[in-house]
Formats: sequence, structure tokens, C-alpha cells
Amino acid sequence: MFVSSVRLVHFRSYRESSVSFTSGLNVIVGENASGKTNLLEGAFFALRATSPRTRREDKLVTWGEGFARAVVELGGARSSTDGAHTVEVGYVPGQGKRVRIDGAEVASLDELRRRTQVFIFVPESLLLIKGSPARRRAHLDAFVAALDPGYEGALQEMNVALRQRNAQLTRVREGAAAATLDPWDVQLVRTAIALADRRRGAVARLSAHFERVACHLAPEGAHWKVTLVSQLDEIGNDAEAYAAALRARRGRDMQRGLTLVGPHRDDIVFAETGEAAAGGEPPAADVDLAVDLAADPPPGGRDLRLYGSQGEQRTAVLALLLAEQAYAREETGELGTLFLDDVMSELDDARRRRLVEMLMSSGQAIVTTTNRHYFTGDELAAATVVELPLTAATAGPGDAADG
Amino acid sequence: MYSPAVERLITELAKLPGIGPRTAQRLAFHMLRLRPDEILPLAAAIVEVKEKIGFCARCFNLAEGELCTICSDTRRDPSVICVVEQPADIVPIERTREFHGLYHVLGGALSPLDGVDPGDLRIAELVQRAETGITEVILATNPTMTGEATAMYIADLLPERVRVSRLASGLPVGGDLEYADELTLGRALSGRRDARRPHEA
Repeated sequence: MFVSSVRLVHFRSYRESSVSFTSGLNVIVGENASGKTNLLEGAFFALRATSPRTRREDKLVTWGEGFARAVVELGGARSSTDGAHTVEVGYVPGQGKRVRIDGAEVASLDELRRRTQVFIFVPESLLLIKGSPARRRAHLDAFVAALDPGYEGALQEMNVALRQRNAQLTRVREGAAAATLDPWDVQLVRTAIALADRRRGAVARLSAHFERVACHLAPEGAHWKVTLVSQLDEIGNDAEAYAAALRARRGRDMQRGLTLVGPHRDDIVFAETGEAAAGGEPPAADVDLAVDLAADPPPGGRDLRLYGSQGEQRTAVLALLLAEQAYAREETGELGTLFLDDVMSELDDARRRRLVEMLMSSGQAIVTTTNRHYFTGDELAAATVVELPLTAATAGPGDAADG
Repeated sequence: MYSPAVERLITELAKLPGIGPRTAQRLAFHMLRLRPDEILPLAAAIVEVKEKIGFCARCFNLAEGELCTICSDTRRDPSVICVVEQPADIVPIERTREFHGLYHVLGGALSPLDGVDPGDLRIAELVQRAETGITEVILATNPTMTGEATAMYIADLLPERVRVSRLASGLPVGGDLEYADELTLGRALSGRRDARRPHEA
């Protein structure tokens, strides 16, 4: 499936506009504040009912208006003509969102996530590298859960077990018998190991794609990879070892009323290893579990979060999204859609050519740029080019929040 | 909007499970339309059930009198106890006609998040019952996380000599594999039986 058109009504700088796209490479050309980012955000909002840029959703509504609406028409796979759908998200601040697929209201957003594979790069995406482990976990979990309902179930179960155990920790601290924690330890261990297995498998698959993509985009000679850094790996990664770790740390957990060891503390590290590692060494096994990465870079490589340049961090996020697209295609057969906001400016010419080549050979890509010369004449000839601001009477990007 | 008496009736009805404000309102107006002899038996039945029905002194099932009908049935095997969360859970087990022992109703399942501690359930009473004359305890709490945790907690407290079992999880009879959820199917796989000797544990 691909995005064949986007219609935005009272969305950010768009009063009412429609833009059509084709299933291959689409290039949106426009100056700063011409509405490029808003257009991508609007398309993403129609497909996910959430903004990749802000949690303040009332900001999405054009100033002075009471609602915003984003509508995406989906075209079928390139090989077939069927499978056209309309997805619409309406939003009234204070009243929430309404999602309609082909005119019928759907109660759950899961339906949206299952129907389409979309990946977006906006300036805020950099937080995936720079931000907290929780953000990286949430991103990974949402990506994998959309492909694998079993992963989502495992994640939810683990979270329930964790909350139950945390609640019981407080009760034991307040005087309940220590034995009342035992069954919750068992539930947490069972659900945590189940989740950890799935998560490890997912990250390994993702990393394989990431390494391949990063080869083309990272600086010459650099080898990048994604690694799951999990306390469970450090303590031996089986149910008995985890149960023993929980028992050993019960005192500390009780003081805090929080479980301090488990997959809910996992992180994903983007690292440069210099050369392609032959065997792929395991991540640092820190005995104390209190890993101070800043003071002591792990032998796993140079952590791009801490030591990467701005350009490298942006490239790593881009590589991650391309890796996710490849992973999702492997899983679903869907090519998916990439929304890439201004990614060309950070790359040198050779890497721009490689990126465009990758984009042209994999599904739909909608890429914004301030400068059409980031693309070659041949590339532009093969792509669909959209100029912003739109010249049609309906267009009106005035107070764009771009840039 | 309504007189206080009607308002009170609607409020009370809306507290019942599965009844929202709309339904409560409809029920209230229905009751108002009925003749006294049509609706007062309901009120009387509620009063009677709350006056007469208590908990069985042995198993904490609902009982009219000291012991419930199951505990006072001398044909039942008193050496086997089936542990359930709620009195309502007894009904489907009885319907199978496969179980001839006695029950023990916990009154819920452990759930720290909801503030349910072992002390809130009839666990101590069960352990005490298991001390004498019991050969097997079947833990028939729900196959939910709270039910599993409760079963596990109880299993650790019961005397060593008592056989403790847990209801098997698996596929519904007459069901279709295609529609089975992953977790159920996973449990069914791990608890699979020898197809040549299906009755061996």
C-alpha cells in the first residue's frame, strides 16, 4: 500500500489542501516555512493518529479553528489495483480524535498500525538517539508490536506483572510477609523472560538490516550496529538467574518500591565498531549493573549517543528507519512508506546518491528538501516533484511551524 | 430532574454490574409502571436473600444455614478440595459432573494493585482444612495472572503430603485451531499429551 494523496484541513499551516503522491520517490521542494514538515506530519497523523513532533496536540489545529482533519488515500500495492482505502483522523481539542477507515469509525488505533507501515523522520526524531532509554524502548516496542501481536501481548503481560510486584514491594515494606512477594517474582520472571526472548530476536533482526543500510550511509570505513543492552544478558539470561537476581535485590527494590532489574530497563545502543566485527562481541558485562557509559565506553564500540556528531546521529536515525522498513517488509510483504524531512542536507554527495538509490528501490518515500539540487536531474525526472507552497487556490501555508 | 426517591432508585440500580445510567433509568421507569404485586416480590426476594444467605462455615460457598448444600451432601468425597475464586465458579464445575469432592471459595485472587492481600482471602482457612484428612487440593483459580499467582502462593503453603494440582490450560473442545489465541495455544502445546496413551499424566 502507498499514500496516494494527503488532504489536510485546519492542520497546522494548512487551511485546506490536497497533495497527490505516487508509489515511488516523491520529492517535496520548498523553502523554510513553506509547510514541508507540516505536510509530512499531517500525513503521519492521518495514519497513526499521533504526532511525531509534539504531545501538545492542540497545537496541530490551525490557530483560530476548532478542529483539524487529516485524510490519507491509500493506493493498492504496485502489482494490483485493488486495496484502495481512505483513512481519516479528525481531532477536536478537548474532545479527542475520531479515526475512520473507509468511512467507518474504528475504536482502536491498532487497526491503523496493522494496515500501514509508515516510518517518519522529523527533526524531533533525533531524540531517538539523544533521548532517554524509555524513548528508545517505546519506539522499538511500538514498531515490533505492530508487526507481532505476540510481542504486544508479552509486553503487556510483563508490565502488569511488574506493576503487581511493585505494588507488593510497598506492601511488604509496610509489614506484609516477605513470602507474599514470591508469586509475583515468579510471574515477573515468566513474563520478563518471554518478552526478553522476543525483544532480543527483534533487535538482532533489526540490527542485521541496520548494519547493511548504515554501510551505505555512515562515514567511509565505519561499521555501525544496534545492540540491545539488557541487564538480563548481564545476569545470564535465564529464568533462574533472573529469579536469583530479584531475590538478591529485594531489599533495595523494597526501599524504592520499584523493581530495579528487568527488561523494563533495557536500552538500545547505536554504536560504531570501526570494522565489521567477525563474531560480534557481547555487550559490556558490568558486574554492578550500574553501567556508567560516559566514563567507560563499552568494548561494544563508540556509542553514537555520547560521541557521535549531530550529522552521525541524524544518519543513524535515518538508517534505523530504513532498517525498520526492510524488517517490516520481510514480515508483512508490504513495502511501506518513508516520510523523510530534510535528510539530504546532512549527507555528502556520494551518500545522497546512495540514499536516493535505496529509496528508489524500496517502497514509497516522501522526502522534503529546501534545495532541489540535492537530487540529480535523472533522479528528479524519475520522481514525483511537489513544489511548496502549493499554487492551487486551496493552499495556504502562511504561519508554518516548519524548521 | 426526578423526585429524590426515583433518583435514589436509579442511583442504586446503576451500581449493579453491567448496568449503566441509561439502563438504570429504563429499569426504574419500568418498575414505576408496574403494579405493586408485580414488583414488590423482587424487593422481598432481595431482602430475603440478604437475610437468609450467608457463607458456608466450611467452604465459604453461599449457604442457607451453617453449611452449603455441597458440604452437607454426605455422598461427596471430603478428601478432595477444589479451590475457586468465587462462589459463581462452582456452578460450571458442578455442571461437568466430573468432580465429586468439596470446594473452597477464596473470595477473590491476590492482586497487590487492587489491594488484595492473602489476609483478604480465605487462604488461612484452606491451609487449616488441608491439615487433616485431605489428600488432594485442586487449584481452580482463573488462568489469569492474578489467578496463577494465587495458585502458586497457596501451593507453597499446603502440607507436603497433600497432592496439589492445577487445572490444565488448553483448547476449547469443538474449537478451531485457527481461532485460538497464542497464549492458549502455547499452553496447550507445552501441556500436550501422548496421543497413544492419552490418559497418562
